[in-house]
Amino acid sequence: MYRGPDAFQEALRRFLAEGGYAWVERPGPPPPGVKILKSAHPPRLAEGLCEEGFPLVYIAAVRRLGSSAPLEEACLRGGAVCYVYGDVEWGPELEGRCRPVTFYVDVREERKALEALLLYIAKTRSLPWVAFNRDVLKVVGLCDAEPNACLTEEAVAKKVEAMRRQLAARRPEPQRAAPPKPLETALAQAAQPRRRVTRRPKPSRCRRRRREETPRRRGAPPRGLTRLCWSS
Amino acid sequence: MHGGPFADVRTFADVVLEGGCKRSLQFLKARLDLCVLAALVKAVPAGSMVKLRPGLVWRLAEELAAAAGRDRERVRNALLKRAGEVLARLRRELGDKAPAEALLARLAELFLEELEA
Repeated sequence: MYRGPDAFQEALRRFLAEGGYAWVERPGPPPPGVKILKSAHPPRLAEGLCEEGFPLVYIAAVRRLGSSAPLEEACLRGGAVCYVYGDVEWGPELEGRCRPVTFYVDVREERKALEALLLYIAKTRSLPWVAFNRDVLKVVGLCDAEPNACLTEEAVAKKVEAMRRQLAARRPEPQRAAPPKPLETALAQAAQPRRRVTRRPKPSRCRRRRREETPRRRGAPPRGLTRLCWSS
Repeated sequence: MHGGPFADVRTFADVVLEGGCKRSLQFLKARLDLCVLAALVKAVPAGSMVKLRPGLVWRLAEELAAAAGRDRERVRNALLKRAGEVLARLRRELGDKAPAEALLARLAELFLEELEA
């Protein structure tokens, strides 16, 4: 669950120390690099927090490419691949108003260290895997390991379509209101003489005879004739 | 436009609503939970405190129930009832008023679980 910006910095220090990571904490905005999230919160969301004095915490997971320079320098000079995480996108509008802090973390065994870091971020920031950059998830193999981690809009659309078809096959969809008829069809139908929809069944030969023989009146038919019908 | 970390989940919710819940009454009835969660994910405004009341999805429930014809009121009430149940659960977890991000995080989790089911 989200516990506020102050608790995150302290908890992150604890996590990195307990995980045996080599890391340094430097004041300043994050370096350029591969974004861990597809899209972070817009900078305007941080303004309130900055006014209250909370620092903006960023993480840069650094994989050196043969460079022995300090972590932050390796990131800036291109001697390393840097995976950058921050709740809020850093922008020039935050310069001077916010206090950014960046944790540079050395991820030597890229896959394992990065996976642990991603798990930590997902858990503490309550982020679904679909919020993470697919390229980063692929590096650590989470696309295959976690269901829905690399879900795309097209895949969801296909899934919904399949569900709809499955349901339709199980039971036919009840007919909704019929679409309006074209004007020509409606006029042609109106011009035709109306036919009676329900017809009475044709009376039996006996009944016909009875109808002809007896005068039209209400009530039950005379006894003799009824019997005659039954016997025939 | 800047979407934030839940932009994709909102897009998925939109796909479910447009491609399933609004298109077929049968789908809406069979996957009521999925439709309610999608409506909630879409209805939560970004970057503020949210009061966890079913009124959040009133407009979407009306839209979804519109296709139900004579059953319209019954379907809308079923949607709002289920939304109320989900929100009551979230109220217990997050409190009566929750930051939109915390609420979205939990809703996204429930929505993706339901989509997987």
